[in-house]
Amino acid sequence: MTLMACYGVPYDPDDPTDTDPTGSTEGTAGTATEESTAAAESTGAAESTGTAESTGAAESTGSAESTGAGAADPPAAPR
Amino acid sequence: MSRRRLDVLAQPHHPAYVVWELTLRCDHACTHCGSRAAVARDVELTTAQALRVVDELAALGAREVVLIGGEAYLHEGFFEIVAALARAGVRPTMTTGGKGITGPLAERMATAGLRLCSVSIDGLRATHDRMRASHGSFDRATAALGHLRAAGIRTAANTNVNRLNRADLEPLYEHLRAQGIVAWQVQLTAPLGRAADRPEMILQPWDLLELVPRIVALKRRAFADGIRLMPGNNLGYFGPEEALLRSPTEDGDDHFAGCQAGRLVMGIESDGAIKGCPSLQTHAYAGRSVAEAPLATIWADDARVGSLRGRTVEDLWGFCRTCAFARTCMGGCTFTAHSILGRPGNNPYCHFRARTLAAAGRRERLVPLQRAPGRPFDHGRFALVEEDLDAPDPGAGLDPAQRVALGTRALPVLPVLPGCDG
Ligand code: SF4
Ligand code: SF4
Repeated sequence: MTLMACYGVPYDPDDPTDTDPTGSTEGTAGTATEESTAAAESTGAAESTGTAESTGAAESTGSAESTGAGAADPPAAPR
Repeated sequence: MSRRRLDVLAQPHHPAYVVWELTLRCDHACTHCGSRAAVARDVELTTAQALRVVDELAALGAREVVLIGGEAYLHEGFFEIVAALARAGVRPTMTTGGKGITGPLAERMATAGLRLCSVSIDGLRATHDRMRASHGSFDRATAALGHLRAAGIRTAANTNVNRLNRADLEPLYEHLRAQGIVAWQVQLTAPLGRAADRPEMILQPWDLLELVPRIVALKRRAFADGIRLMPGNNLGYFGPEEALLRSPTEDGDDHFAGCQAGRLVMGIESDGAIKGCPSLQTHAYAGRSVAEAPLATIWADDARVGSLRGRTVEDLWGFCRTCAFARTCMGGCTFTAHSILGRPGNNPYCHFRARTLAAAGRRERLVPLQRAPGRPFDHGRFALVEEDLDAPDPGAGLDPAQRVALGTRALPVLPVLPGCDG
């Protein structure tokens, strides 16, 4: 995940001056981790919206259907 | 790897990303300012005290410090503090209104070690100047972007979205792109500080139904232009485009992973008070000052600074308590939820929530109940009314002057006890 704060500055991944002096690697970096996936799955995102599609993270984050406004059917389940 | 990409669930608590208000003195007095900035606080950290804090931040593993105000450049030690941060290996960045940034000032900032500066621009000229309560502010902010760029500093912009400026977003993007920004942070105006006095300015929760898809479309456009549009932490959550909205790369799969206040984020008020996040309500979340105790002690032991660390789903309430994403999201942005309902854990400013309600033909409307007492980082309180999605909108059709007019004068003041919101 990118650390953000509402009084902070936006994040610029292309900034050559922004290097981590500790040399640590991003790893899972707060993109969906196993823990967060399990958390959302265990709470039943699919049931909550009553659709089968909503369990598919790939669909829910990128499908043409999911961009349709108006219904809350395909939440982006954390992965 | 860059400093702000962290596995937030694996990292031990440390102030990795710090936002430091150097002074509350400001050359603006914006209509929406959360800290009600204009004049300095009665007591503010001196340059000598601030330089000690720089060493303490470095020792605690701070990776980036964003200098803010008021206007950070109005602190007498501004350049020294920037240089000290850079020397200590802590990346100094800055958020500014840009009004006083001239060519020579920008060059001094670059010489001191500033490499990235974000200028707050909230709309096209008329809207921005109205929101910033300053004629000519838009042109000065735009000029600041040019001065900073000419000095070799990477430039970005921050925009607070509300009912006054939401119509400007697309042309504003074109304007910012033409100024050569590399990144744009877009977030919601929460009813904090002066924005709490202007309930007709802030969004209604259902406004997210049309706003979030527009911001997602702008993000797609920005990717194509090589500009990173990043949502502030109070813009989301878990709509169909959550990954696109929150990832810094087009193929990313980021999502909101919960408020990091007091975990990996820290705020410093200009008197030295430590908070888990710069936007958090002072009376409820500010711990001791670095003028009184070592920063490491405050970070580790102060109950208010750490008050959000141990939260569980049991601490959520209302819609968020039963939400499918509760455990991951934890009710969205803490200061935003607190500024609406007087305590965190139930956040009406949520795309998933608005979509879920809309699918059932319903929506939530914020109705002001109590007004803010008038201190930095304070808030009033709203009632949450659930109604039909197509119910009349009492705030529709107001003109821009009406949106920024003070609209809470007739309300009782929210009683505020330290650490308690009653
Ligand atoms: S309803 Fe609350 S917990 Fe659920 S996604 Fe929205 S803000 Fe997060
Ligand atoms: S209070 Fe909001 S802005 Fe601050 S760290 Fe938490 S989510 Fe981010």
